[in-house]
Amino acid sequence: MKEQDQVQELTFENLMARLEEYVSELEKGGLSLDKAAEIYETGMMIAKEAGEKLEQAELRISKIQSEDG
Amino acid sequence: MPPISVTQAIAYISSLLNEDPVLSDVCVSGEVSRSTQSASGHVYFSLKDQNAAMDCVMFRGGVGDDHLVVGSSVLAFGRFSIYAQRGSLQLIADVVQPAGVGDLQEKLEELKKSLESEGLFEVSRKRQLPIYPMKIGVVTSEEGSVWHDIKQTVLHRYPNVELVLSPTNVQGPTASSSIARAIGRLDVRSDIDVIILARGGGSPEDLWSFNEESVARAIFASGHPVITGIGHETDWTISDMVADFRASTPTAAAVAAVPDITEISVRIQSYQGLLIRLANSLVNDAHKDFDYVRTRLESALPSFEQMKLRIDELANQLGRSMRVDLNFSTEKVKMLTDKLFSLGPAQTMSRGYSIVQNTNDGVLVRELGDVEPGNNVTITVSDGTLEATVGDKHAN
Repeated sequence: MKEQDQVQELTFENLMARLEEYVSELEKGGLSLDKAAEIYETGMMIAKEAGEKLEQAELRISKIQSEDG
Repeated sequence: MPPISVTQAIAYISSLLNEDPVLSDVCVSGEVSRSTQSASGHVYFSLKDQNAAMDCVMFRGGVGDDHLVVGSSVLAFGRFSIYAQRGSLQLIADVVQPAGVGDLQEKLEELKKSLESEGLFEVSRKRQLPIYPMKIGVVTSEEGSVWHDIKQTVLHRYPNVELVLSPTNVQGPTASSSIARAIGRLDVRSDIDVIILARGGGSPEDLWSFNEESVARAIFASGHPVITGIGHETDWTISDMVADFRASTPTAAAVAAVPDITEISVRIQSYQGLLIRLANSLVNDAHKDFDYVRTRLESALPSFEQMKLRIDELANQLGRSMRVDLNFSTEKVKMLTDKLFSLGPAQTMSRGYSIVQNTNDGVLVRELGDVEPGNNVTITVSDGTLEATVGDKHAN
């Protein structure tokens, strides 16, 4: 649950970076089963979070007031 | 040479004009001496200098017809052709610029050289654009289609961002300083990931502000990477050269600023698939390892079945030998006891038997012949003796 909260606080960029990192770590191999399971679990959580972030994305628009008016 | 018709003569001259590399693509400098616009939108005008004059036309859709004011000095870009009906030579102008632009062009080249020597165009200083920006600063006019196009492009391509408009004039004498300030207002914000500097298409003069030194320096000074999308594909301004990334149009700049959401979704899905596959294969490997170790362990340990059999066997052996011993002892005791009992008469008498003796000589009476009627006999029973006299004898 704690891990999930942490994941939700990551920016999209960080989510993608971590997801890519996890995939390559698993690809590299040589992990203990416990570690691999942990990476798998967190990786799937991150992928889900990233997908949801994209689905819920809404373009925001703001404007800086210029001194010209 | 046989005579040729007027039409043939004009056609021949026309073909020469078309083939001539100078006359088919020329720039003529002169003063506008006449200018009329037809109902169809074509502008007929004349150019002159001290010694000569010529007829010109700019068809509807040409660029810069607003410079065709009588008395102004202009540059007319186009090609020469013959107006067949009158046999007159004319310049068909596609683009007209104020003549001062020539000086500007010179200044532009100078500025380019000086900025280049300072390193403002260095490829090595161009920064990587963020892959997943969160806030994009947009420097452009709030009016017009460019801002709208950028919003629409980002909305459809990657709505996972905030667009921060820093409005500016993009045309006119104050535009360059307005643009530089608009960039500066974004630069002081640390939350901006990338800046788009954009303007729609126009004449070279329209885009001139983007060639100004103040704008070039503002781009160079920006702490955030800058993407330019100014005019069309063929327009290259100094701003484009200083920018970290030059896109050909405002829409292309918006495309360059953000990733494609569909592409990323597909990528996330493929990562998920990869995680599942990799984890599965790891678990499978672990299963195999476990099976292997178990097999080795089993072969290294004595078999439980065999041990059980052996234990049973030992237990049986033990049981058998114990029973043999026990049977042996029991039998022996019984035999001895029997022997003892059979040796003494007491046991026999206790069951109702008695011993009869002739009282006179103590001889045991075993059969009828051992006594006669009238003899005295002594009868021993289990707990004492009786004295009796034989009355009669009967054989069985």
